[in-house]
Amino acid sequence: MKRLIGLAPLLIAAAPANPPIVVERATEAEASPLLMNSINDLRTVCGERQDVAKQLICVSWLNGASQINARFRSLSPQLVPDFCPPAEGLPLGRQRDMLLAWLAANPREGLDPSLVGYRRAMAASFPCKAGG
Amino acid sequence: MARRHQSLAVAAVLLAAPAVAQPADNPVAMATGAHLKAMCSRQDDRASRIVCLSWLNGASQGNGWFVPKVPAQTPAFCPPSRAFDLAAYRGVILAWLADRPADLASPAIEVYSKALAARWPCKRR
Repeated sequence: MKRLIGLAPLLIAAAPANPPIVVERATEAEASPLLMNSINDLRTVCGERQDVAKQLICVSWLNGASQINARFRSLSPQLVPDFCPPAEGLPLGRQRDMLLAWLAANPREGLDPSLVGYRRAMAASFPCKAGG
Repeated sequence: MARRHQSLAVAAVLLAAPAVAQPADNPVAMATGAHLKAMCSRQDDRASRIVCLSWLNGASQGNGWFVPKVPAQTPAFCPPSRAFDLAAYRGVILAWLADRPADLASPAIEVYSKALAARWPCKRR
């Protein structure tokens, strides 16, 4: 429950601007794709082409997750692989396109954590060489 | 107007390459401590709240699944429970930056790690 409350600001931030919505607690937050908890949430939020708030949530989430990849190493690379982007960088728009392509190619992936899907999607194109 | 502002923010962040330092006029890239401060201190702006909290969400998910490559730059942090609180993280980071203005020029991920590790250090095993 604490996490649900803790993530409430994200739901508030993504709520429609008018009329103002007051949310003291993120009720049924587990069902909200805006929390980006599962691979299905990635599919819902990052696949959005109309709602700019969802687009912003997607690419900002990708931004935070990719910065962690650059500075941290996975303890379980079989489950959550690291990826090694090209030297010229990997813009977030391209990451989103790669993620959506991977999700389309893996339609049965859905309930695992979003981070697992993201890492698998990026590592499929940019795997790290041994010791890399 | 708000929708146009958000659309511009999306366009800016889509072009961002997160591993590379971004110009100071592109705070949605969340590349530096200054960007963290710019996005996370603006409670009145919906797009800024979304960028801040979603970036923190993406960085925080999987905490504990990873080890830092250079602990002196990006130390691990160990919050008291696995139920993380993005609003609390935001407050800790903004307080850190208020006390250490020199970190406004540091990479955002280093500011994030150092601030949270100072608040919730990991005990040696």
